[in-house]
Amino acid sequence: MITVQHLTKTFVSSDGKQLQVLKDVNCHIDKGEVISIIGPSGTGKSTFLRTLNLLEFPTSGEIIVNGKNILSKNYPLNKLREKMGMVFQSFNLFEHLSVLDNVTLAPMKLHGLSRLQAEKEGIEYLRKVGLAEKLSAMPSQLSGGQKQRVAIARTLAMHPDIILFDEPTSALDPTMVGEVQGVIQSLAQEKMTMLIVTHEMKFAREVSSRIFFMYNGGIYEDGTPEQIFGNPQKTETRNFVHLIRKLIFDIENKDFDFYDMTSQIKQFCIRYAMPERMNPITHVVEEMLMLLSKYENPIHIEITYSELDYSSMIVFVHKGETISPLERNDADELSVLIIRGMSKEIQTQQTADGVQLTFFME
Amino acid sequence: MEVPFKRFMRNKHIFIFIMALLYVVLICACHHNKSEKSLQSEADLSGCVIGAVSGTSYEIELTQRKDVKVVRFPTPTDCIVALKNGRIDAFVYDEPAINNDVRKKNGIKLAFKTSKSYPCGLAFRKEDYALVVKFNQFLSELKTSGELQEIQNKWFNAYHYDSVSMTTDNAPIATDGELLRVGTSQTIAPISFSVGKDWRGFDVEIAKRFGRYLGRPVEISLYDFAALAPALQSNAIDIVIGGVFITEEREQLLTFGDSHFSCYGGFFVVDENSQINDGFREGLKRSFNNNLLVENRWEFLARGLWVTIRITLFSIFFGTLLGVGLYLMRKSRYHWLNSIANGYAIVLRGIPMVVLLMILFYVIFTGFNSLVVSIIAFSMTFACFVSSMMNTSIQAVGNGQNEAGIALGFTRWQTFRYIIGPQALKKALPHFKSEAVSLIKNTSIVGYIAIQDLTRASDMIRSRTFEAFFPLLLITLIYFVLAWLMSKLLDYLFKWGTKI
Repeated sequence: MITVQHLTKTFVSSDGKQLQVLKDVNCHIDKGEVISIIGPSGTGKSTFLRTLNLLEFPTSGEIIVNGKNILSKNYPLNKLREKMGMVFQSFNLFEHLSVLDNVTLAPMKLHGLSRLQAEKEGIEYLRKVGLAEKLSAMPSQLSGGQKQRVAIARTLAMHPDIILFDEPTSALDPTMVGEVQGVIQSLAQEKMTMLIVTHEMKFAREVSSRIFFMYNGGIYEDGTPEQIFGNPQKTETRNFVHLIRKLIFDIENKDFDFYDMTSQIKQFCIRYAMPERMNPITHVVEEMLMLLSKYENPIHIEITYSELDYSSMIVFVHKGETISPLERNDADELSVLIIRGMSKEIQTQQTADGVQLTFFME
Repeated sequence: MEVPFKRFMRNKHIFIFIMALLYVVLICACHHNKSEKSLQSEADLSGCVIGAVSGTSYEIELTQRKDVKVVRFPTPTDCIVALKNGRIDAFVYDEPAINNDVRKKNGIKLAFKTSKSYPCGLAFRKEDYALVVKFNQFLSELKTSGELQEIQNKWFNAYHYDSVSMTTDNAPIATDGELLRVGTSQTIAPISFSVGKDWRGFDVEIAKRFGRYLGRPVEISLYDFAALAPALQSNAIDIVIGGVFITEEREQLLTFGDSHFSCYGGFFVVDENSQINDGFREGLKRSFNNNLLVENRWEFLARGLWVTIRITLFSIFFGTLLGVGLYLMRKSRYHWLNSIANGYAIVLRGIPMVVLLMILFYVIFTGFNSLVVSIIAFSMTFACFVSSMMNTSIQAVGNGQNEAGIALGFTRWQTFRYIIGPQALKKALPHFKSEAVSLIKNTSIVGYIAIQDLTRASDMIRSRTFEAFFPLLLITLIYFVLAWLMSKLLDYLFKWGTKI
């Protein structure tokens, strides 16, 4: 149905700065598929969605819909958009029209339906999203969740072949997320083809037949929900689906700001609600730095925390060394004792950069 | 301003009461009296505050005297008002222009005449030497036959000017010759003044006779005094009449024909012996009669009103069209179109309306009808406002709904027509209304380019009746009603426009 090849998009700001948002996107979407697009912020998920109906024009690449390149000249774009519905994060209802008029405007003006016919159909779609009793209300009288459901009904009224959802629940109160997700889920059961950009992992897993994990301007990993969530092939995917948070320090020499580092560690622990780990983590880092202070080689530290299973670990890389500082003969015994006492498990690994120690915390 | 305005209009009694009160206050203010000094000659003026009409020779000469404080006014009518409420001790103006009738009605008297007389003449363009020679020939014939003296006596000794007949009145009008365009800034009897559509007076008769002498039809139009010289130089008119004093300074710019009469200035003071105590009712009745009924003076107002309405409506119409064009240029994807639109806005924003009007009339659109030029000028400034108003109100609707419309399959135009436009219109209407209403009042400056609009009509009545406030209050009332009608009209148009 839709094939995307080597799609790129570069934004040029008014002062001439260029920002490449999409680097090389390739994918194929079949009829009846429900695809969730997940990934960290700023990786071009929304931009990708908006290039599909050409709300944004791609810088290069091809988008082929039903065998025709929609980027070619004289392609009937408005007809394409009629068949490609879009639901926005901020609803974008027409504020001057009632709920029913929002739904009937496009079918009347673009499909030439009579008002009677359009309203009859419109009420059906409103009933489908559970809002038939609100048909004469104005958008300003609705809650966020109701607005988004009207927006979905407005899209459905054009009988689209595919619906693009651009973060449909991100602007909603947590209490209203469910009603919108419910509507999307019922559409999925009716085999509506949908592309959903979302941050709701649980929802993505339940509703989708396929997941695109976007990272750094491209589709980094593409697979079924089981593959992406259960057995991700790539580190970035795993970090993302496991909701892994990271704090990284690179210490080049002895003059680095130690107090700034400990304060950052404390803030990191507080932000991810693990104040009880603040002491062990700072102690391990402190003692490791004591042990390593004899050497001039640069040190790389990563503190990670997974919001999925609440595990955290500290990774130390002592660059250019082969022997673990814990196993050296001249190691300070008290420091080694503290480190071993504070961590659940310690793994030592030889990498290209140097010796890597991983401490798993309680 | 909408709500208090409406409420105010709804209560007619309050409105009429306030207008009447205003009138009474102003009348009372007029009768306030202060001067006690007796003035006999120019030497007595020392230490006095003297009113003069700006640009006149009297003003220039008085300014050179260190011991006199000169206060400048645009018209002799204003001088009379200032004299009566004690702002000045005396004022100076052409002695024959303030005739006995005016003196009596206003309770003022002549203190003394100026010691010297001032030669007056008709002014011509510098290059138009042939016309000057012909005029001098014509004038000397008139002098030798004694006709000039006859005409002069007829006008300057008259009591009721409207009953003076012009010798040219019944003469056949030349139709085949080139139009002789005559400009005047005077609407004061007996030099040049208008009765209904006709121009009359001493200078007017001279000009008309000269036209007959040349075999050319004569057209007389009213200009602001300051605008006469540019009008002459830009070929808008051929001759300036209206008791213009021949001075060295003016001769550097213009050429004067031989002087056809000399004029003494008169210093006027309050006449303590005069008794004008009509009472309020009588006063109002007299004002009404003098300003509206005599000589059918209401026709000035009616014609002026029609001119004001035409300028306003056409300017709003074309200004809105041009403004939409400007907005589209501003939003165009072509950079050069944006630059033109922005440049236009920046330039127009910095030019005072009067200056724009003068530049367009005297420099750019020289051959055009002045009404057309004023419509162009007001349309140009109104367009600036419309384009920036559109910009803000469309931005206020937000881009989200625009995208939603496009994503549904509407074209850009359809999105605007069905979704953005109706909402932007609603947001823009109050601003549009207040701008349109203020445009009505702003058109009052068109007098600068010889258009007789409503304000100018009241000026003309004032300079005939020398009454300060009645005509002004009258046009205030008319502007008031116009503003109200305008906002009603726009409400109606808006309702009609938002129906899908």
